[in-house]
Amino acid sequence: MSLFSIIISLIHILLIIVPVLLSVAFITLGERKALGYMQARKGPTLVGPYGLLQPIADGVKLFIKEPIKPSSAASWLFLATPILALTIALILWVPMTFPHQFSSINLSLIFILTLSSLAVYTILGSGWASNSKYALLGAIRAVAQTISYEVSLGLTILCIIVLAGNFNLTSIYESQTYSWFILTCAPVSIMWYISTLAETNRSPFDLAEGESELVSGFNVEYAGGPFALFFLAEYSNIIFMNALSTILLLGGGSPLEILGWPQTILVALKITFLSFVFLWVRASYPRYRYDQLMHLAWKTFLPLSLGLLTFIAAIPIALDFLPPY
Amino acid sequence: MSFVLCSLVFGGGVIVFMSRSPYFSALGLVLATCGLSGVLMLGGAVFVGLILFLMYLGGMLVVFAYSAALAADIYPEVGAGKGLVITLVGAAVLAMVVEVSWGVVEVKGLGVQEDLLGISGLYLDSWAGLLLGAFGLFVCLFVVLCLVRGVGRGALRAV
Amino acid sequence: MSKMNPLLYLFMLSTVILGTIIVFLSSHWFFIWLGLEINTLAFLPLLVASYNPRSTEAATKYFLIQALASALLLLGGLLHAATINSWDPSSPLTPLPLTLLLIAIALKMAIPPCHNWLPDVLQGLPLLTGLILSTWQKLAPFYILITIQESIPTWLIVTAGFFAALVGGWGGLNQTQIRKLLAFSSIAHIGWTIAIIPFSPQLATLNLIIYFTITSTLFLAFHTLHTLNLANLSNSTNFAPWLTTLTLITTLSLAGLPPLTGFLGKWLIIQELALNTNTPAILILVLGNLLSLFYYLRIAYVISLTLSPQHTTSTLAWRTSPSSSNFPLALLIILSTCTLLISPSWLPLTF
Repeated sequence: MSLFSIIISLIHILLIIVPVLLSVAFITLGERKALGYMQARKGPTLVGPYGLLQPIADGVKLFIKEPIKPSSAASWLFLATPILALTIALILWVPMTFPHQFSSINLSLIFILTLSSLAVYTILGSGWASNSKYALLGAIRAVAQTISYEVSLGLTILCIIVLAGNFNLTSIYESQTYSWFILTCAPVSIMWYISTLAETNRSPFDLAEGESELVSGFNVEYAGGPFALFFLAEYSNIIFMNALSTILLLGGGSPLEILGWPQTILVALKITFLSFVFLWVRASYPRYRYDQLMHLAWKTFLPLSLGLLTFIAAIPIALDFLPPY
Repeated sequence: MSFVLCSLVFGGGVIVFMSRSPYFSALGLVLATCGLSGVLMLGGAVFVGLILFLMYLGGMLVVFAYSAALAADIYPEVGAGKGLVITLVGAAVLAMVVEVSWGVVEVKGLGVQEDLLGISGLYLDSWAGLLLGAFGLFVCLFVVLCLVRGVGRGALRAV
Repeated sequence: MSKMNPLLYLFMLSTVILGTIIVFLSSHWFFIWLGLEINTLAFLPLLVASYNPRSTEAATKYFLIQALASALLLLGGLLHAATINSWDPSSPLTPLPLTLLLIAIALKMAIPPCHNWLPDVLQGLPLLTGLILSTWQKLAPFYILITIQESIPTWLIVTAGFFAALVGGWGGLNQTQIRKLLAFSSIAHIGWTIAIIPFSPQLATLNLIIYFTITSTLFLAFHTLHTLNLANLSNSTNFAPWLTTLTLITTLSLAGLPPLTGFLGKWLIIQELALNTNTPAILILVLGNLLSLFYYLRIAYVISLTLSPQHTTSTLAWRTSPSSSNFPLALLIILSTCTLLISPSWLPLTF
């Protein structure tokens, strides 16, 4: 491998990392602004025009602060988990279609599910390595919630796989050229969206880090740089989940695809809209109780999505055709 | 690449038996499985590798790690040191074995994979074996539930 | 001491049996492994069915050993499949898979040098569970051993056999616990059984069946007598005189003394080995059995010869009405003492 191709590869990697991190920076600002206006106030305004430089100031502040490590924490695990969290969150973007991919992976949906299930270990590891009751309890709540909702996420994805006939995101994107999957499987889509809210530990399912009760959950012992890594990973996951919803259910750039217009803009707009709904939900709904959360996952979503999976899998067979064709 | 994966497998195994707290053992299993799935994928069984990763890590082992995290360890530690050396030597040997036996491994691209054909064969020809395996897993689950239930029903407990 | 739910017990017991049957019916290393795993896993709740710390320890030891054995067996089967591209257990084995499989079987059947778990595990169990452990649980690995015996070098299996006979004899010398004695007797008998496998698998099976019959009788008898060590045994004459006497005879049968059933297997094995001019093996097996005879005779001594010469002051149990009849035990006692007498009529069938 020549030096030139190594540089090209590095540029490719940066081309995916830099926009993701930038969008993470601006979604934090967007969140504060949106929440501010929903509560009839302005949000950050002082740093830069309309507060646009606020996320950069926040980032700089976080990274120049001292990263405190509790003396009783498990040393290498305590530092390894935030790094792992951000790494996984960034690797998740590799097979994403806008409609062009960084890497075309045949089984990209399984790849995504796999990596997002691996993200649970970073939460558990950080909570445990902190060696603090609050961090451990927060981590355990977060893990229980995440793996519960992963089940319904997986079943929902299976519904779409059955209809698209492929694990590949590109072919799922292409199979929605004339009709979005949100129309074909509407109830599943609603469950999917709620599950993504729960999977990313967003309000109203933010039981892992409910500020006043659990003192911020699994990352309570983190400060400075490692905390910033967790923060970046969390918001990157939020944007990623919305991007995935866009590709899986909202057809990506689908109406424009027929006209041959650039679809990336439409994909981006849809992702922005879905992310805005995340913030909207946060401003509107009170937090769930923990038993209600588990009840919703195991006693409502699981049977419902299993039944719908059977139903959706039966439709192509009943109509006598196999999905990709 | 195979060197990294094999060192993951071997290092994970070493961590499992070197660590003094069960939580690190669980994490060692995570590492080992990551490496093993990677080796499977490099060998061309992408689907099997990913599904192993998904089910074993995402479904099963997380519960194990979850329970292990509740074990009371005030100053958890993993006894490293010698283990690290053993890991590196072992990984080198394993990597060499894999390299020699498979030649230059390459990632398979788009198209139908052999392992997918094998999996469909599992449902088509050897369905009885599949049912038997499912029954074995069911027995395993049932036995674990039996063993960890209350003492009155015959639990595996020291006190 | 709390008991398990009877329905659960029944389910587990039938799954134990099912696992062994799966091993019998399989012609594929993976399903042999699966059957063994089902068998082992379903046996674990039975081990802790009557809860006490000893049984917990026994179950843990049993699980660890058997899990290791199963993993080795699967590894051996996989290597076998990788080298000669066949999952068939009867196809000839190359040395590495063969070694792994032999270690796995030795662990499963407690053949020396992998035998040390058996006395410990058996000591932690109630006698009836111990009965299952020392009879039914040996069937599946024995079947695998018979299946692959063509690939095993004769010297290796005969050496393992007389080694087992010696270890089984020596191990039991210092024991005063009935269950440990039975464990060492099990090791010794497995030694006799596997030593004959290369020459006549039918004879090995016959010897295993005879051993199963006699050891089941002893387990059931000691269960009826509520006896767990030699000290208690000397009292048992007082409340079950007939059963105690018959236990004495059955013990001698286990030792292989001539007019009793136990002699049958040993006689035929010695004859078969002599036909194959394997005199050293005969010598060592018989010497090992001599060591075992010491502790069998000690049981016999404690049962019958330490009675005080006076009449007992208490009422002997045979003068009161028997509390319950025990038909299986009666049948097993007849089988384990008198089979030699009827054997010539059906013995030709086994050769």
